[in-house]
Amino acid sequence: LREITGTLEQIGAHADRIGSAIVKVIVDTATPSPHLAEQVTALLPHAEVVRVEERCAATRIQLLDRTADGAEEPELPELFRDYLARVGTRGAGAEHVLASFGELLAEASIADTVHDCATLPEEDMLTAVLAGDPVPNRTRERLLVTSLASETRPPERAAPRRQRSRPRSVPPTEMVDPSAASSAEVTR
Amino acid sequence: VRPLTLSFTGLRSYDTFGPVSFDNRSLVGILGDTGAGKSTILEALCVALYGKCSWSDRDVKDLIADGAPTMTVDLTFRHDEHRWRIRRTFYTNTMPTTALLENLDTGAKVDNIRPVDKAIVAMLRMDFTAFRSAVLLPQGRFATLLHATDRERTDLLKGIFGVDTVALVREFAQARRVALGDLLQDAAVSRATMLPDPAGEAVAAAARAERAERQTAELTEDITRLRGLQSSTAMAVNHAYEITTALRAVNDAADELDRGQIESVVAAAATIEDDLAAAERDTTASELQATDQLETAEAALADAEAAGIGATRLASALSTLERLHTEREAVEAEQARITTEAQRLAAERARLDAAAADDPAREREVAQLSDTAATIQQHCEDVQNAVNELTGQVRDVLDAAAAAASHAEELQQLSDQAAAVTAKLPELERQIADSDEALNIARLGVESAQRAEAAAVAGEHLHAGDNCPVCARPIPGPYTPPAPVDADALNTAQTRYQDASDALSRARSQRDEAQRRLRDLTDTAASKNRAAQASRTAVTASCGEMTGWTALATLAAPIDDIAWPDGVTSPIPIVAGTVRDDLSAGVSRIAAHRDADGPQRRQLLEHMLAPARRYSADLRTAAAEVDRAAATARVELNSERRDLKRQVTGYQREAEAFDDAHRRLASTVRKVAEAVGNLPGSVRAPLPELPGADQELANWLADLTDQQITAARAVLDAATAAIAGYELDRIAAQRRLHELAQTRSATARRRDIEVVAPLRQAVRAYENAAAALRSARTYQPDLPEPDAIGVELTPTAVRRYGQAIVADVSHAGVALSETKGTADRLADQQRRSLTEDLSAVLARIGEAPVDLTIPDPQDATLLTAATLDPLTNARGVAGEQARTARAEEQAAADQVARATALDEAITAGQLRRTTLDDLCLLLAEGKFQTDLTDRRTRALLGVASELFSRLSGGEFGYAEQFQVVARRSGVARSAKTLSGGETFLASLALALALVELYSRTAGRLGALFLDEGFGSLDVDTLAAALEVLRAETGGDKLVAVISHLHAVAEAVQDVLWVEKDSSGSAARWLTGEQIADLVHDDAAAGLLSLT
Repeated sequence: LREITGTLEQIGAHADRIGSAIVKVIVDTATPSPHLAEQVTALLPHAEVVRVEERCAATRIQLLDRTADGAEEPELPELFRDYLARVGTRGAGAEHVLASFGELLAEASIADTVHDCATLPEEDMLTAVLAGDPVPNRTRERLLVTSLASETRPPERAAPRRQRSRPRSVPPTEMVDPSAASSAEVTR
Repeated sequence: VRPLTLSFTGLRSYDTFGPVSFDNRSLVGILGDTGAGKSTILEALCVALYGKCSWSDRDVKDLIADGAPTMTVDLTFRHDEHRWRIRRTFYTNTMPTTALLENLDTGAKVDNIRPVDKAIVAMLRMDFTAFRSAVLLPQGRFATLLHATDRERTDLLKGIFGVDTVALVREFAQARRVALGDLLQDAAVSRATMLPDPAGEAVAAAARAERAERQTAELTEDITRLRGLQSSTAMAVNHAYEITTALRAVNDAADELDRGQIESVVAAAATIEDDLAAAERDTTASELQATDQLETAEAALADAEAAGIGATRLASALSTLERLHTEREAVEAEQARITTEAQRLAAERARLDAAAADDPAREREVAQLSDTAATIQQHCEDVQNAVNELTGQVRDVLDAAAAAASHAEELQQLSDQAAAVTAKLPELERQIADSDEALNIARLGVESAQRAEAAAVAGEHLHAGDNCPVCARPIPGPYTPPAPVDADALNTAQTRYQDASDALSRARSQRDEAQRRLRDLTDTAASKNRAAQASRTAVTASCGEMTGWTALATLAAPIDDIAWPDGVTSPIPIVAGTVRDDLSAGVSRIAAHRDADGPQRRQLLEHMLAPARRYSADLRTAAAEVDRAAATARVELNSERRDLKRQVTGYQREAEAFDDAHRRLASTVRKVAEAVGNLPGSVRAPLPELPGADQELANWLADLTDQQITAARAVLDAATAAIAGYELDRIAAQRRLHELAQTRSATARRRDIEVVAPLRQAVRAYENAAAALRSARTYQPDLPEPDAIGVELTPTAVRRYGQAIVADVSHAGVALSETKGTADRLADQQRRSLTEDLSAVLARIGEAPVDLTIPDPQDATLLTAATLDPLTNARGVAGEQARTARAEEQAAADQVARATALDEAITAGQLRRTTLDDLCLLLAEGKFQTDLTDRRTRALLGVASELFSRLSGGEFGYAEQFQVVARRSGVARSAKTLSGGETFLASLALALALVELYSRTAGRLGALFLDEGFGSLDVDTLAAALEVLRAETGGDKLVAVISHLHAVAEAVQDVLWVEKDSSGSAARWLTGEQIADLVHDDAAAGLLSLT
């Protein structure tokens, strides 16, 4: 069994050399050819053609393969950062959006429904102030306006707000790193 | 999810499984023959994790093994560096399914089905459909992901890709945004109720407060000083006024005593007191006399009472004597009535005893009648039974006669049929002979033709001189070969022979049938003849035995020893001879073939039995009448007994009433005797002595005469008159003593009015003067203390007291006038000082009203509180201003902290809300979720394409949109046009790619289960696929391959061998040698099949 590849012209040129061999033919074409098998048989009258495949340049489909960095699929915060860099925000600070995404993503790893979702520090602060209670320093430190107010302050990670028995699908080290967010190329 | 150990019980063909450990195993082959129970292990995994079947959406309870009461599945697995254990138990009965998920590292537990299902989906980030499409590829359904539509594929992969997580984050963002908005609104409303600048407002209010407070303090000091001055001035003025008042009282007392009226009153009282003392001495003498008279009368009455003739005893005796006449007459009348009643009751008792004595005779009559009724009833039943028995016997005789007649008729018919068959036999013999002859002729024809043809064949190639093949002699010449026989002639001869043979067979068959029929008829006729003979014998015997039938005797016998009640007629028995005659006649008619059918026999039967049935009916009627008569007699007897019982009861009641009357009479007599016994001895003396026995009391009472009673009454009246005299004396003495007490009381009242009252009036006047003197001593302590009044209000004591008081009053008037002048001067001086100070303060305030006037020093209003009102008003206004300012300062200060906190919280909240607004937009379905799906789909297909190429020997790969592309030609192929093997490889590539991609992202898929599919691969492709699997497994991943191909064992690292016998399925790990044997045996079997 021989496999022959080439255009119709190239195949026809080798017809004498092929003779009565058993062949599988791959034909390179520019556009789809409806009667390719008959044409090949006509070109190789003595050969036993068992299969004819068309490799058409016009309909050739690009195959997918592993990317160079395919060994590591980026995490959701990183993908979201990339997405944000491409589409920008409507008015809010990109760092604030990334930080909020990170906080809520951490919450999604321990809460299953909206009802289980913990309140944000800003809600806690407003609730405390409206009730006439003091605002704990822990709440104040987690405020968006506080955590990203000064670039000179060391970045803080969104710590888990409450302990659950179930382990976190997204470990704390995969939370949004505000310092990383500030260094990203973000457009508004 | 990386399985570590698995065990289960009662699942499909397994009684028990495991626990089997998958720990430290990467590429596992679950091998065994078809139907051994390999796929059940994957079912157990699905049941453990999701509580569902992999192969259908039916109830998971369908998996429970036949006969097993429960199904339990226990799986330990590792996920995200934690070890978990999940257990589920299902019951065939109505008990609810249980589920328990336990973190073996932390000890945390989740209980019940719904929470456990929810926790598993959240943990694995995929629901059961996705699990079944991506992790566990069931037999025959491994291409679900490959063949899914875009929409279905997105749904299956969104958990693995993290799109579910992004959607959840967006839900969280929206929820927090709404909650934050509500809080911001509340905060804004709260802030709007406060001052814009609370701190500044507090400082200004404090300055205002200080000014007002200073002014208030100054005015308070002025008011305090002026009030002190007012008070001291008022005290000086009041002191002067009090001295003046005391002086006026002393002067008034002196004027009152100087008028001389008091002394004359005291003198008149002394005269009256002397008269009253003389009258009291007369009254005392009279009281002593009346007391003596009263004591004498009471002593006489006490003596009479002690002697038993007191007023009470005499009144009781009078009552006894007065009713003695009445009681005596009543006792006499009651005694007469009791005597008459006793005689009447004796007569009634005799009558009732006589009636009771008649009862046994009446009872015997009724019992005899009942016995008669029972006897007739019993005979009635015997007769009815005899009728029934006779009916059966007669019916049997008639049926036997009819049967005999029927047998004779059938015998005749059989005889006729046998004669007809015998007549046909000669004709049939003749037909056989004819057919036999025709057959012989046909046989000769055939033999002739056959010989001719044999000769033609034998002689066809002979020539003259050749030896004859039959006789071996030379054939003489000239020789002509015999002509060949015509084929049609030979066929015709053979046909004729066959027809003749058939005709002979038919004739012989008909003859044999006729002979068999004749034999059957002869046998049947003999049988019928025996039956007819037996029937006739039975009829004859029945008719002969009839005279001995007990039923007939019973019906013909009369009833003996019966006393028929009046009005009841005795029925007449039947005549037995008539019945026998009728029966003989009936048998004769039936034997003569008349009346032989059923209805006619029944009619004949009814005719013969009519007298017997009539007799039975008459007997039943008579029995019923006798029974009624017996019942009536019993009812009447019972009624008479009830009447007698009622009369006896009435008699007993009357006898009891008679006894009561007798006791009442005796009681009355005893009471009268007791009253007579209680009479005083002198009164009872004229009466006869009371008898000792109670029985004689009535006679004593009846014998008492009117004269005796009248004599006793006279004695009683005399004693009563004596007692009445003593009583009158006592009453007169008591009345006199009462009158003397009233006289003494009148004297005392006159002393009070005419002596004591005037003296008390005089003393009161002297005491008034003494009181004025004591007041004056308050302001002039040197004055003497006046004397106190004596204890007695006697004219002498009062006169002495008045003289001392008059002397003291005169001296006090002079001394007190000097003291008054000094006090008046001091008061004037203080008034002037107060006026001057007040004027100075008002001038300093400068804010006093224009119409304010300062009172004159002598003006009474100078010392009132109202004079200082302008000052207190001014101080009040200043104080109010200070309080208002302080309150405003406090209110402003209170708001400072809250307003600052609110401003800070609102600022922070607004920043977060703006951020959440943008985040919600960015995470919407068409935005980041789509971007994420696209990106990870590309990554998945990239890995899958590379794996697909390796699996297919470089034949295929994946392009966008899950298109399968032939690598060499670059042409896309529809997944549905792939062969079975290609489809399996394409799905395997996707599954392996999912495992790899999932392990790169948030979680670790950790395991892949392939159920069959390898059977569709040729040898080379199978080897290539297993090679890829070997290469892809490693680390902590577990790839489990289920196959019935033993060759797979060569490619995997561990083999779990599954086999099944009559007791169910079982699984065990194979050793290395066993795996080698398995592969070797498989190869040997393959070689044998090739040979």
